[in-house]
Amino acid sequence: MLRRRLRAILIFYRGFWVPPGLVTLFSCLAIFYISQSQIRDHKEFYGILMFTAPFFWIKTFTNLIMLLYLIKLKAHEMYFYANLGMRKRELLITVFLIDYLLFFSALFLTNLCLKLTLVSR
Amino acid sequence: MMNWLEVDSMNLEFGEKRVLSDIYMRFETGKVSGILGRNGSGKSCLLRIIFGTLQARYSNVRFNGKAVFRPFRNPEKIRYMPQVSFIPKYLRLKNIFELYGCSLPELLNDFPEFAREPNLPFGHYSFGHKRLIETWVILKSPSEFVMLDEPFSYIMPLHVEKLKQVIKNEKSGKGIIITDHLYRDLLDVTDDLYLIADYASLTIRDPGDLRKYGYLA
Repeated sequence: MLRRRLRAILIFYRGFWVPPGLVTLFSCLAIFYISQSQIRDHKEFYGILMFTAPFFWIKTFTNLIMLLYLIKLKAHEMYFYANLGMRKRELLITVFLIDYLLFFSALFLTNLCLKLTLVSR
Repeated sequence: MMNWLEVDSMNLEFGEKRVLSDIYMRFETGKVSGILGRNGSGKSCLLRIIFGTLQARYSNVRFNGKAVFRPFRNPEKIRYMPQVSFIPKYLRLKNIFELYGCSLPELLNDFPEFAREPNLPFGHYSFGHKRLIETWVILKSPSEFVMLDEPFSYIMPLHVEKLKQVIKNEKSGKGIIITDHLYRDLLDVTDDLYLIADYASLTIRDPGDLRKYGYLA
């Protein structure tokens, strides 16, 4: 039952992961290049959280638009998940948690890459 | 063992508009129950309330006498096929059937036209085929009760006949609740029949009652 639910969550995420994924990719690339251009060496670098705030809000804004899209235009598909025992709210909260988890994991990797790049300068 | 599902004292209003009032219905495993009603009489709302995805002002849904809140949380008890297409278009038949615990070879056996391209993404099929797949998946899934909202509409007559046979075979293990405007097809498969008229539910004992209550001219 749990396995089936997890599969259902991943299937739901698969239906709309591209726009949030592109926002995550864009944010990481932008943070990487902005940080590189503004920081001269690794001693000035205190982590990418210095540059993250605006991108976090861009991410949150696009996720809110995505949420509206899912509620308005994917309403019929919710029956597919309801038939697997899943509530709409449970499904939406879980997929957005997964999306933020991927966002922060990507930021962590960007942070690591940036550190390595600055150290090697 | 026979299981039963009862809906009782169901009242639904949208603002000032009354839709359902004091509905009582009883469904049993081993039987096909039909629900008829004019457009806008509240048939689909009734099914959604039973399923638990629509909140009524008041309703009491009981499985074997025990009240259940949000029955859809227990897919082994009830499943529902809505009027609209509900399966994500990018899913392949194999995945759909796996998730719902149905057998794809069984579908291919009964409807060989799917055997030519048995694993296309769902969105690639025609509307009629999609409808047939959705009906099949819900009908065959391991659940005590299944509710089908307009399963015969949009399906070609040859498939309707086969589907009726599948419904008759499938009822031995579950309770099947169907609503459709194609009342002749519905009458062919149902053991019990209800009509929703003037917001209330009426038990139909004889097809002549449909005229008496104004469903047929």
